[in-house]
Amino acid sequence: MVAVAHPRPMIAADAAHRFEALFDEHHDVVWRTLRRLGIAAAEVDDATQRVFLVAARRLDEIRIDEERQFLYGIAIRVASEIRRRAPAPQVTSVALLDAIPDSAEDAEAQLIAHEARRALDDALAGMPEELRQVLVLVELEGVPVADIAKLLGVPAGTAASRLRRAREAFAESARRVRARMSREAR
Amino acid sequence: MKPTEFELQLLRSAGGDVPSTEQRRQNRAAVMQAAGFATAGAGAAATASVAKASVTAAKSAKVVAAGSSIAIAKLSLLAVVGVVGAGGIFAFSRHRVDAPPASPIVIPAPPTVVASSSSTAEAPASLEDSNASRSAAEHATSPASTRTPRTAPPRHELSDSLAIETELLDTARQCLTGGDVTCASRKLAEHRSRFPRGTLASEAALLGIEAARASGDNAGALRIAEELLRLNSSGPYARRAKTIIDELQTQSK
Repeated sequence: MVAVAHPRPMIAADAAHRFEALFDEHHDVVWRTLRRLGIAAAEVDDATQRVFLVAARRLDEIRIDEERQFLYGIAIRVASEIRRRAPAPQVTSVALLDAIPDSAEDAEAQLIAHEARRALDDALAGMPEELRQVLVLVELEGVPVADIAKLLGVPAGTAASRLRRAREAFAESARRVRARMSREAR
Repeated sequence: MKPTEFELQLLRSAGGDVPSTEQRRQNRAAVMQAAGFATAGAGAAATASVAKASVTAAKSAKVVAAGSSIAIAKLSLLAVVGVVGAGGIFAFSRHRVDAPPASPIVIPAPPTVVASSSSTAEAPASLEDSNASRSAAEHATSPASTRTPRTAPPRHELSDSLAIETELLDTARQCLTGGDVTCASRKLAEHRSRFPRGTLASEAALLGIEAARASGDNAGALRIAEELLRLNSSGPYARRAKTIIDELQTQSK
């Protein structure tokens, strides 16, 4: 006979309702985090689905007030797995074609936003993965360093040190991107 | 070290990158269906999602061919297990696990999820005001938010395979919970055979550990746990693997 230490599984309807609420509240954050962790536009929907499918399977393990942290942990793992595969495809041309704006004003705004995000992704891509993870979660998602330490399974001091190095690496990477943009603009 | 305005501009730009309403809807329908939560409405939405994905995929065939593969990362985790014989009995390297459990087992508790902390004393100050940054990230909208997805992976393939993986592992867990290790082993073997690089490979490994422990094969369970830890150096799986390893090593003393 197996003694089960898991919490009693929720009944299906409760689980479905809870999962729907979890998905609706955190979908965009997970999607955006995956993008900044280096998942290409063509793959980010699949990656997002993977994160939430794992969450669905482990729903009864996720504490109510810790859902986002749990999802961050899964997102980091999924992003790492995908990035270990072949390099992400370049889809910029198609993405731009699909994003043709409706007016000149929109066009300018979109171009600026697109260029800024492309520069951001270039800068992030120039960072070691472990530093990139910390920078994205702290600076873009506002996760406290103490939580980062637990997420990554490292001491708080290590997480703080990693954040300091992440900021330095980002600054250096941003400088390289800016220099390249300046060359291209000439 | 103070960030430059250029760095701040880059960081702020992330807030405008949001999925479209259609992407959100499609992802929701696909996950609800794959997770077994699909309602009639969700099922219809998922079907529509598949149809739309197919159309869009045809339009951007080159991109999809290059980038939409849902081939999973090379988790060689399950290399430590194998199918033995035509009966599909699951074995852990050298040990068969089709024997009844020697003693009651306790399925390991789930990993502790990160506790939210109010302590920010150790946290260096944010690059910019965190409220402003977060507000931009949380609430910014983009013209793209109302557009259709730019590319469409063959989501139906993902949903189908994930649904099957989920069903296999759910059945394996039910078998384990009911004390039927042989049944669980068969389902895990089938999962391993059909999805050698499955999305839920780490989940399958955890069940494999439980099955090995249920059969009294602590050495086999330890091997899988160590492999799981090697493949997940941090995060919930790593913590779970460490807990199991500690328990097994304590038991062996």
